[in-house]
Amino acid sequence: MTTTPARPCGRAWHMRGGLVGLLAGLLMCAQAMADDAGAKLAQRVYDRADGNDASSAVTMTLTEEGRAPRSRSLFLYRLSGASGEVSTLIRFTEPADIEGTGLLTLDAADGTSNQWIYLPAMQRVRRVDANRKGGRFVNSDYYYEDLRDRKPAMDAHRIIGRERVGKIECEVLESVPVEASNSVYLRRVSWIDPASLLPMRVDFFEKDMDKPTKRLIVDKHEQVKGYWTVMDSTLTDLGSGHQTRLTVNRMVYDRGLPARLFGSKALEEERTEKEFRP
Amino acid sequence: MVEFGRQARGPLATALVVALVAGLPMSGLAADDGGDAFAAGVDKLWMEAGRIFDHPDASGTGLLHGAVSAKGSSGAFEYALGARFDANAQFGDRDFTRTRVDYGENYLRWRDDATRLTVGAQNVLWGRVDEISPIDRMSRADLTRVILDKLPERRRAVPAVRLERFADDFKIDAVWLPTFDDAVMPDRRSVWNPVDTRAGRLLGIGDLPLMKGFRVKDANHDTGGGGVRLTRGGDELDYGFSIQRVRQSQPYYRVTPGVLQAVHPYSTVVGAELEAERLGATWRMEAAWSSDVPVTTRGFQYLTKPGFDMVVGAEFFPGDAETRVTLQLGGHRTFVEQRVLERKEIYTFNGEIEHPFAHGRWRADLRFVVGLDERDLYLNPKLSYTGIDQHEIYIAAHLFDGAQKTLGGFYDRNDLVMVGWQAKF
Repeated sequence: MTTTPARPCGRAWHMRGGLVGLLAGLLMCAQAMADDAGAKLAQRVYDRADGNDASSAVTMTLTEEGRAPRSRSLFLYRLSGASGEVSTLIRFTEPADIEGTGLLTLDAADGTSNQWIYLPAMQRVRRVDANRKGGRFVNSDYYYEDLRDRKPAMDAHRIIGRERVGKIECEVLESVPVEASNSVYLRRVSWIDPASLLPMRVDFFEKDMDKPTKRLIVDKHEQVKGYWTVMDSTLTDLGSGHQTRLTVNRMVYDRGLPARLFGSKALEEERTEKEFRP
Repeated sequence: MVEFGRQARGPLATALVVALVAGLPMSGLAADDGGDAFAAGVDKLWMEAGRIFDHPDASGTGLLHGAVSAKGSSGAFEYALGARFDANAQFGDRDFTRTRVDYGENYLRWRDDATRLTVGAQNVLWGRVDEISPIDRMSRADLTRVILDKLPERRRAVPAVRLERFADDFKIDAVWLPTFDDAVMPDRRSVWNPVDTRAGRLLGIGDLPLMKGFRVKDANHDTGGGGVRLTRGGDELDYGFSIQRVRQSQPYYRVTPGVLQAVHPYSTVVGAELEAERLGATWRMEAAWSSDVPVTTRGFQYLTKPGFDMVVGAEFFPGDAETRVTLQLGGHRTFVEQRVLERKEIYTFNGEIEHPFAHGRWRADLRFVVGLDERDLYLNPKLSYTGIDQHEIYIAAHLFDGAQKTLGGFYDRNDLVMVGWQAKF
């Protein structure tokens, strides 16, 4: 998983890289004023190399002023198929009340998805709505849409400037859904690092085209086995100040994850998946 | 008065509790040495107190629950040791305190890439729908609080030999219950007991004055039966078929002179299930035909007759937002020509609305059951604070109303409000 916090037209974090990556994907929006340069940049971001498979150990920390932080630990596995299909498995290991919960997502090359959750309390695998966009993922600031693969063609893109994020001179890419119904966002603006093709910052606009409601900042990125990877990022709800920080503790690419890791047995049996933890 | 339950499993369960709790910190012990792993500790603590408003003999209830376990693995083998402690109290004229120690999951498992063989007490919960799964016949029911808890809390481990085989998108699950362990029932004095020999009332039948003062005799069965379930998932439709020959976990009370004899008749159950995502909702369906549904004629003759159960439900998120809604239609019919004391047909509408808010620090729930052919109502609103990881603090109400042969009617004096805390470790 390429913890790419925001891949402007990108693949969901769980698909291609990390929680973060997923967000990135959503961010691009451009009204009807797309330009070729914007579309090309969005495609390059989407096509950025991130290995055939990836395994990562991630900590998600939820913070809110005046309240004790809450932390979730999880393992995330992604396998990319030759035809464009992507399989993802998430296993939560902390806290105890969600320990063992698994989420399996199979994204076909044609854009359709199927998703199942394993609930340890019930010891049951249940199908869940794979097309859900709204709603918070495990009470974080990430919406379910932020976790899904998002093809560049789903948005109209244009480059609206250049701007520094920290020490990096980024290209600012605006993305607007081609069909408003396919996103909870009206618009996304991403600050793309030309070197790594990772978004260093993403602003999300939900109800007002000019006033962002969420902001993703990449705090740390580095190359792992030659693949640029977001290692630390923070998504802030600009209204409440609530934050979700994703920290990648370990990341391994191209280790030859087997297809059986993305089936019902591995979903309901933690021990099968445990053998592949990074 | 303190009483150990009939199924307390005295020495074994007590020894498990003592062995597991002794010296273990709340967060447990864990070790992972290459392929070998071990973890032990307290799994759950739960306290609750309730106020009953309308019952002439009870004014309140109390609950204290704890569960401990140890799990480990070595090579292809895994093992689990688990035990639970429950103390139930009732206040008022029919006051009592009952403590029980019972087994949890205690098994030895062998596994390879495609197979799991598990021997010992384990949770077996077949089915897909919520709350009233027609094909969930393998598990041991926990009826100490009737419907107050959600389905996983109303099920306990059952002694079984289980073989699970995975092949591509298919799974075969074969279970044999070499011994029969019946449902865990409420204390005889509990307002939740389905039998009230003081007032002459029986759940499902209603008033039966002749049974006032009857003695209730428990059943003593040997084997529990077995079954096979085949399921497939992976495409746009998940489905499964099952056949079981099992004893029903919950007792049926056969009326004999002066005695209500609990029986657990064998029934052959043929089930079908499916699950699909359509129109923005996840649809779940289960149907089961049973060969032997127990009934009592108006002449107090005990019979078993075929029956059919079906549940169709949908889970969705209105407005694609936080609120989760599950709605289900359930129907039951017993194919009996004679006039019987029970309802031959039962149709219900049930479900749950769950709304987390304040970034999941709070949650509002409403569970409900509404009768469609008879007046029958159960409402369970609940407000929970979940802002501390692993902990839940809540206030909830359970409200009943209905005709005399319905669940709501039988418990219509049991309306209560409760506060509680539970933590998982």
